[in-house]
Amino acid sequence: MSAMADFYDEVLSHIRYATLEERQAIRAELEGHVEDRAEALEAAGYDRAEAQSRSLAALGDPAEIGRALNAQLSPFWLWLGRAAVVVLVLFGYVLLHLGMASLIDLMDYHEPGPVQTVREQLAIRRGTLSEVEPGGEAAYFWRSGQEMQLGENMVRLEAVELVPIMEGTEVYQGRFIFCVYHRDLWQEAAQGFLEYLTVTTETGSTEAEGLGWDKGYQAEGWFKSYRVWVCEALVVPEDTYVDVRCDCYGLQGQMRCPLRWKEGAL
Amino acid sequence: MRQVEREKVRTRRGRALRRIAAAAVVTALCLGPGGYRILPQQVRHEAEAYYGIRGTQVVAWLEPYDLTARYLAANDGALLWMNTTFRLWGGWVAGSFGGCRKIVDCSHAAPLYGGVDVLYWSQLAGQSGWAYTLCVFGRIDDPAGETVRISLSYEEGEGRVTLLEEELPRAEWIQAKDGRTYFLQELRTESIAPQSITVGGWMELLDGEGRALYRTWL
Repeated sequence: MSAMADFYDEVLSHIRYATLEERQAIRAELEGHVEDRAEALEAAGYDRAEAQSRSLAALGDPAEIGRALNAQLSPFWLWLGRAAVVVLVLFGYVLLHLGMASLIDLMDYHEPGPVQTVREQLAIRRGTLSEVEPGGEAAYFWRSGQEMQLGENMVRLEAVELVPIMEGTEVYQGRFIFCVYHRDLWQEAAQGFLEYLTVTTETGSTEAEGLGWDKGYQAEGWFKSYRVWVCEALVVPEDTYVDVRCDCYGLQGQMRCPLRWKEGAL
Repeated sequence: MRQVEREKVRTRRGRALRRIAAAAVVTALCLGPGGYRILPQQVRHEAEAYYGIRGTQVVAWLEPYDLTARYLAANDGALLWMNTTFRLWGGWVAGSFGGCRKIVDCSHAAPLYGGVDVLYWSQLAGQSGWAYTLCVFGRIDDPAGETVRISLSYEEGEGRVTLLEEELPRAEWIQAKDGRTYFLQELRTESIAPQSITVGGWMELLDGEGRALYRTWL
């Protein structure tokens, strides 16, 4: 038995790159060959020890067998497979981390804006934000839907709300609610230019700056595919339109939006 | 014997291919829905999407340290400064975990556009304050300009404290492939300042005789 074990060990010692599983399989295969031949020799009248000894001798030089096997077993696929395992473990770990973070985000997720589902988000491209409603103090409210293009993004005046600032006066706080979305549905809507969005009234008495997210419309769509931005400006009945402009980072856009005093009266 | 060898080779290849396929799926999940940014350029494209611009080209790099990629990108209308850092989670990031991004509007014709960013601050031995390492960047559109003078300061009480004054002569400017002239410089303050200051100041373009052609506020 010892001679056989030494023979197999000698064969395997010449195979440089083999997994434990492959070594065991080679050993089993060699044992199978030796056993088959030994059984045949035993049937021919040899005793067990002699039959095994002759079987081993018939296989040839173990070093030569080992070298031949080593040449056949290319390490290329072995190392490629191992490299793939490294990548798999690394990115698997990252994916697990990202997945956990996303899960936590999802559990905490609360959509504060007017649009909550992808289906409704799609509707932005077709209609107005369905849940933008006038506030209790509003004297005028209407949905606009007017749009201008800024680079790859669209700026859409969703709705206008006019709130009297003082009883007995004809001066209103105009709140202009904009929705920004990318022309490509699955691209993130830009945000960086919103602070450059200005609303100027016809009489030129006021120019509004964006109020940002602090007026209850701080919405970002699913995957940030749209954003809502609010500008405020003082408006008087003499104003029949406002000019909405943006001019920054090489992006230029302007639209004139009529003030619908008659239609919008509440 | 030959049969054994063939079988082994086939098994080894098959196993490797299965592992490669699994690794490819996991990698794709990381790079796609997972938002893993494997290249610093991906962060620049994200910044472009955030600001609504497109088509910026990298015009200058700062020498990297650790796992950072710091570069200035530009198009006709904007300068985009990207200070990106590599993290195992998420890959390249800017805007968090130490990295950041800044944009300078170049829409309106001016001889000089400039910006500043704090790269990091470090405490000096025996000092109670902090030394700042800053990055200044900009674009020069006036061929008469020969030097950019920079004055950086921070607010303290009702006044401003000068943090650093520096002059960048034409020799330190960068002529980019787009034909425009830029500068990007890392500067370290000599003076000590409190932690977490907001750095501002101004940049001035001087002609060959030292006359100020234009000043822009940071």
